[in-house]
Amino acid sequence: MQSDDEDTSLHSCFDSLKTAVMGCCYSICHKDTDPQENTVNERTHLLEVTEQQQETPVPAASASTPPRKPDEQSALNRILHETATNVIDVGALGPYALEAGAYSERVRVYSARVAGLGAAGAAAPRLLADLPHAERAALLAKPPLGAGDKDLITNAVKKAAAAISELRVEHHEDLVVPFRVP
Amino acid sequence: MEKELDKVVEEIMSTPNVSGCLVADHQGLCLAAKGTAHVDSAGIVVAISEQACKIQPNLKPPTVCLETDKKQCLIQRHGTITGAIIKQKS
Repeated sequence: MQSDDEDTSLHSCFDSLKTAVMGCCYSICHKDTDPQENTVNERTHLLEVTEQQQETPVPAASASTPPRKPDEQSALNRILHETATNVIDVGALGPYALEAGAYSERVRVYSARVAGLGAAGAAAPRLLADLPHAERAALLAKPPLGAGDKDLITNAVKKAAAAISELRVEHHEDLVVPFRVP
Repeated sequence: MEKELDKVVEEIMSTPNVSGCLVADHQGLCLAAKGTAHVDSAGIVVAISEQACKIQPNLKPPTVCLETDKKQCLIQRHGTITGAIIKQKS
């Protein structure tokens, strides 16, 4: 009977343990089995767990378990406490917080970059500028080119082309000149 | 050798209001330049006439007119020869 009672208490204790570690990462190390607790080794915690998170599962466990012998209860509480110590509740750590100094520094750097880009874009030379619509419409509505001007350029180019087509090299003297070579 | 071309250029320059005249080949080589038309502008003039021919392939030959407040630059292409005339606005 005594062993059955201990079995049920252990079962309830394991149930509470499962509730405590559900959804969280945990490691299986125990402090009493680790002689080098304060030294940095492969079992050292990477993230510091706050006291509040360590103690959170304890009341739930004690509420769900009926009162037992003091040594048994304290042993169970100790196991729970150690398990909770080894649990890293990632969800409760909160969002990634940027320090105020780093935040203002980044704001300053990004603002400087944006300002530099804006200045470089505005400095681009503009050879052609848009005219207002009214002025553009007035310009386009003008007669394209006078007939006199058109005739002038057409005749001039035709005459020039004809003159160039008649361009010939005039032969005046011998291409090969003897240099009195004996 | 180039007397005929010189004669044509002189004839163009004698036209009223004309202040400059330029003739260049299809590669932009200046063949004749007189008055306010500068020899160095031959390449640009030829390039402008080429682009105009591409824009208006059905118009043979297209005439380009560059205008400022007081002056006018007429550019036209005939075969491989491009001519430009700079004249005062009448």
